[in-house]
Amino acid sequence: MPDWLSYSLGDAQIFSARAYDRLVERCMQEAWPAQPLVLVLGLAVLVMLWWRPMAGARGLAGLAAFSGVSMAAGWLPHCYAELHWATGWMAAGFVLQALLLAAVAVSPGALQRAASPGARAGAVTLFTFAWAAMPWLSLPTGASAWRAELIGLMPAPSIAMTLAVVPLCASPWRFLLLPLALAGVLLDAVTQASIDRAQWMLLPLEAAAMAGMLLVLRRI
Amino acid sequence: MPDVSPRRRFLASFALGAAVPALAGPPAVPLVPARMVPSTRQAIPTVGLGTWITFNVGRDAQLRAECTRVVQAFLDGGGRVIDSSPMYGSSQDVVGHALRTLNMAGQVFGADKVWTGDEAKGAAQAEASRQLWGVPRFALLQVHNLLNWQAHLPMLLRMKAEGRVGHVGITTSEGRRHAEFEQLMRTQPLDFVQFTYNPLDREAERRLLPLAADRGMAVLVNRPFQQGALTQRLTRHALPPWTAEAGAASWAQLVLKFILAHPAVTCVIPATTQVAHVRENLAAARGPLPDAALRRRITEHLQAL
Repeated sequence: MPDWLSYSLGDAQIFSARAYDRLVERCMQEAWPAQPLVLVLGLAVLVMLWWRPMAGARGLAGLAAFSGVSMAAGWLPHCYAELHWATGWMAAGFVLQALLLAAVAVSPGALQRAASPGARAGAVTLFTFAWAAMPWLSLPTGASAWRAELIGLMPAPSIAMTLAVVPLCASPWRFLLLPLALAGVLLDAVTQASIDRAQWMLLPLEAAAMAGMLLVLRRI
Repeated sequence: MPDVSPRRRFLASFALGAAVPALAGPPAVPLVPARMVPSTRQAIPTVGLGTWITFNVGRDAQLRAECTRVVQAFLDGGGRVIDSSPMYGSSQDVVGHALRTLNMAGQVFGADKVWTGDEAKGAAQAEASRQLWGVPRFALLQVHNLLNWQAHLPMLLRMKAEGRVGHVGITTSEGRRHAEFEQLMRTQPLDFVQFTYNPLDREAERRLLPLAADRGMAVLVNRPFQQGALTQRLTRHALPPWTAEAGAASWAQLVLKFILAHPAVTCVIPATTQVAHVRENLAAARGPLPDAALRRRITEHLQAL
């Protein structure tokens, strides 16, 4: 039997919820004032998606690529590496995804579905969830606002943002983006579940919503 | 000196265990009963300290200070065996920080592990772990979860022959790969084996514990509280009066006493972040241990809850 098959969900937990929460709080305090900056960038992308769809789609893919780089160069090596030994692999995944997203942003035709109002509405819904809802849904009752998970600063909303790009992509790009994004969804859900956090379901819900949108978009 | 079978030597070590002083420590501290490692006749206290999850606190100064207080209470209370692994994030570094802060690196029975699939990295990982702990050498190095044991076990046995580690062992947990584990116990010259055992996870009773006794191997027991889930569940229920027969003042002590009452067990390594729990765990080693009838009753009662 391969060694990795002998591991279970319980082995995903190598730190306590308390240690993780305090790490997030400390690192987000150190990241200030990046929080208002990413919120403004997100708002700009959202507005552009409505008023200048193609530019907005490129902006969304670009912001998602930037978030991937930010994870690989910021959160993972400088914060999460304190608690987890696999951050090098995770960073490699984010860098690869960032390269794919950057290619999507600049390749002619890669975001051709941005012209479709249905695809755009789907992307806006998914991105709004990542940008505005996830930070607050990720906060347990009574928790410090420093623990709000924002795009570009924490993995879950950054992965959710990539999922928002998918409905705007032409087929080949769409399927290139999905494997790493879904791996990120799975890893985040397992990690959150291992420390008994109800928000483990946020990314799987976003992924399910995205899959549902793709099915609907195929029919219209 | 007459030839003594491993099983007889092991049983003798268990019988004498209560009278064997723990590793050298300050004379005023209350002793934790000790048992001998059959292969080297070194006595170790029967309650150790695990570090999985609990000591992985990164650079957080407040949490590091809490871990240091846990280590201090553990050593002050007569504990000596501390177990960690490269798999446990920053735990090794935090143990080292505590030992340096307390200037107690020489007082511990340091048990660590090799955990890498890469044959070439095993020795370097063991050395990196040693430096993180700040100890001259480890008392015990184990192949973690049998990962690439084919490469690492010969390396560890060479280290032992060269005097660079005191004992060699293998580990598993939660009942995984027991068949392969048993095979290694039958064929390899191991000083220690480590696996999960508690009143609800008793698979080890069937083969691994008797085999350890037969082969003269010391046994470290991990996850006595099922990663906290067992004690969390039990705290919802009142401790029955009959548990006083075993001298248990809490559910945690009852579970530890159940484990320590098995004659093949050398040391149990519960993990905790609280000083009060450290003291409670160490106290479980003292006083009476449940006999066979009481152990059966403990198991039946816990299964029914």
